[in-house]
Amino acid sequence: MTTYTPEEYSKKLLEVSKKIEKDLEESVEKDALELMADTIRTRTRKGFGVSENNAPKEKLKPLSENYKKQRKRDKKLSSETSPSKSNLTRHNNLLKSITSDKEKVFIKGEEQQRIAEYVSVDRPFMNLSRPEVKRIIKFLTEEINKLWNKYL
Amino acid sequence: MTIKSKSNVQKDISIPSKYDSGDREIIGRMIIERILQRTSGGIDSNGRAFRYVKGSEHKGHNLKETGDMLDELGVVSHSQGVITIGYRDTGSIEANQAEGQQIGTYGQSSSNSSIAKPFIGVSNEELAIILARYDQTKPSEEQEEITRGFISRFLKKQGIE
Repeated sequence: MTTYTPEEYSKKLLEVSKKIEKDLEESVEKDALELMADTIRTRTRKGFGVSENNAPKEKLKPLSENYKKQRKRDKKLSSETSPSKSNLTRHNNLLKSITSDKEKVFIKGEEQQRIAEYVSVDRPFMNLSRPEVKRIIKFLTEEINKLWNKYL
Repeated sequence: MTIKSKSNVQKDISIPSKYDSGDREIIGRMIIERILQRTSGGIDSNGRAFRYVKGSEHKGHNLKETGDMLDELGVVSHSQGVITIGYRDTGSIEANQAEGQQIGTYGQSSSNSSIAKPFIGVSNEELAIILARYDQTKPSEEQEEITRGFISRFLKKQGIE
């Protein structure tokens, strides 16, 4: 284990934090965003939404009786849902279109974006609950600590 | 399905009281990793090689017939100075299997230490190595501060904080 004087340590911290920042931008943040997208997909598929970031998750508003009847007749209804299950899944297009890049989590494709906007009025889902945010923070903390150990 | 005693499948590991909740979580995970690594090498918690019992159905030398039993091993709880490791759900199949290995019952009513394969726990030497490794890699306050800054910036960019 290397020993530093206080001045050397401060200099080293600055140097290493620049490397960490670069790694964050190049890969770690992308992984965190993928985890966020996956969290939203999985929780929504289970029938829960989140009204705003850091709010508790809530059961998605139930489907109307008319819509349940329509879904019952739908031969292409996804195996990830059932006629009466409210989980923003009919043909499995919306949740499948939740994606991420190096910058953000987003809905891919104009049509799915329009659908997401429409359904979000009554069934908001593109947010993270407090426990979900905590999971992301834990992931980032662990990844950053690995980088400290790698470079310091 | 019930086990004979909770103490057969849950073990308290004493650690210095200076470690806080976050420290204990990480140390607990390091203890589990050590047990899995040692067990896969066919060594029990006393540092002895698992004994092969002739004619026994339970002849696995690394307790990994399906992997389910070892997958369920984890940190049960922790409080100041103590980390409890083992099987949280003491009524599970995995906890029953683990007890069979720990005390050598293997479905029989009486225990038999000569065929037991105790694996839950770490020796004092193993614990000392784990704690030394943890102390070495634990981030300093300055590092934690910088880490918090990075995370806060990311969360703000995502409109979460």
